[in-house]
Amino acid sequence: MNFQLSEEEVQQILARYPHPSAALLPMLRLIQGRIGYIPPGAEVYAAETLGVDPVRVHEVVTFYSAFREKPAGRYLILVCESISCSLSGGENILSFLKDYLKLDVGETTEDRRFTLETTECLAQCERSPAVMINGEIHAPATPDEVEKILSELA
Amino acid sequence: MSIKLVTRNFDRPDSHTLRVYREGGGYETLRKVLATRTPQEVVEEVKRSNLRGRGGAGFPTGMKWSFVPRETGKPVYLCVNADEGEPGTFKDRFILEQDPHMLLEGIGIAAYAIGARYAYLYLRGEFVEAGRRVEDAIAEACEAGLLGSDLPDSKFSLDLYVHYGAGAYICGEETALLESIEGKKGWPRVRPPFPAVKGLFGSPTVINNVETLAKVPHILEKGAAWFSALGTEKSGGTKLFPVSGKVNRPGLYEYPLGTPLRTIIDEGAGGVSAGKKIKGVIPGGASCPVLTADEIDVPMDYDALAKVGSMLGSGAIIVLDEETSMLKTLLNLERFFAHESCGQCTPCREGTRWIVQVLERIAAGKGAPEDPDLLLDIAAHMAGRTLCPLGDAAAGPVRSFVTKFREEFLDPLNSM
Repeated sequence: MNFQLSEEEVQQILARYPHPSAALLPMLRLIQGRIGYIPPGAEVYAAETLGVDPVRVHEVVTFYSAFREKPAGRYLILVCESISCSLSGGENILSFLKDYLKLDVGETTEDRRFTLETTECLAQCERSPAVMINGEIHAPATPDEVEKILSELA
Repeated sequence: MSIKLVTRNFDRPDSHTLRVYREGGGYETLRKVLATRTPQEVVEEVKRSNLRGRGGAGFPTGMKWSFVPRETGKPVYLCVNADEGEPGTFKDRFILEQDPHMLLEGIGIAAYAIGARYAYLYLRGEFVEAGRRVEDAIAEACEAGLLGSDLPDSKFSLDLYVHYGAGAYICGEETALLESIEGKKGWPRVRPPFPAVKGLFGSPTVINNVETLAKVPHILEKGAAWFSALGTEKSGGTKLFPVSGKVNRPGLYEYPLGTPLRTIIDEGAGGVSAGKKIKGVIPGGASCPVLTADEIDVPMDYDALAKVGSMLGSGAIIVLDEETSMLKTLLNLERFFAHESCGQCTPCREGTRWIVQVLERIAAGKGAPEDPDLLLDIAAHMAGRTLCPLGDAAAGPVRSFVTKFREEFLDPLNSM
């Protein structure tokens, strides 16, 4: 997995901050956007490129829930569990997905196509319940619609 | 009666583009302010408008701006808090997606007022569409010579960068937000020093919410007196109210501060769905203590809600009907706080998890008669004992739900 960024990409994010260490989150975001997770080698690479302690990079990777230490499936399905979605039947979507994909929350299908996870409020409460698949919002979601979307994915 | 200031362009096609924003007179106010007003005059105008922070804390915006020391030799930073994550809240997302230029004009005026040459917009990592819209809007504004370096007006330059969060609610707390921009985990800082004196990269910093800044062009356009008169004596202007839960028309509604909660639910959101009765209403997002059906004539403003023991918070109204389980609702809210507690302060880290354990026990039908009092006791040991307001945010709902709906935390028939 090549997680290294081009010199141009590094310079572009460094230019936004007065201190290189501040570029850590955007750098990790770029790396994860490219290869889907932050492997240990990428933590060392970020630490060396930005001149920060490797332990601080690891601290950041583990603190922020969006950073992944292991790759997800090709499609990452996030089901909102927060209060407004729960009041509109978000639990039904989750239990449907568990049955349909035969997965528990946090698991990935054997063919590595789908990962099922829950998330906190996605700020889509006016059209709850909300599901996010690879960054795209589907709301309000019903089990039928979600099944249709998944069946059309490669 | 609803009044459209921040939402006035939302219904127009392509409302997010510079062309449409300019057709409605957009950026004229920024131009006039740069040409005719001193930074000090802008701060005074915003002070007189009684604009208070729309992120949750309700701090007077003009006063916040006036705390920034001049001539320290250090750069001044403006940080825009777009880390909207309070359950029930979706107002800033609407501004970012539907009218990002109104926000950018507000950012320009604020930066001029406090003397900021650089600004960071801290955007929730999950806001994919909002991110696209805001980044496009920044590019459009820079190309048109409205933002950026080397602008025609030599008094003003502003470089604005989008900094994406990575899924931590705590980074909406202003000092955790600063830590996050600096490339660290989002642990709130000890205050003092306050950000106005020592904030981002050790420099004087102002952190304002998206909705707060979107109000600023209207204040400078029509004047502080006009804006102030829209609201109550101590809280000027309109507020965005995101309404969700058991209502007929969930959505975003803009009303003057001081509008009764009942009016927003009935007139704005079309009343309770399926002809049911209200059991309770959370008036300002997940961290605000719940109100009973008897309490919803309260005027929606900072002081009136504080008087009835709750908060305006983000203004997010969540309606719970007669069939809603208060046990299940509180468990949902507290799981959120337990998940989002950053772990720095013991009362919050341990308290939120303990509360979840007790609620789960009651929900499993294994509750003890003393559990409601135990919950109140844990909450009492969290409130006011943490560095940031997350401990209070988790304790408030426990106190209000357990006190007002105590029987639901006792009766095994109400278990889930």
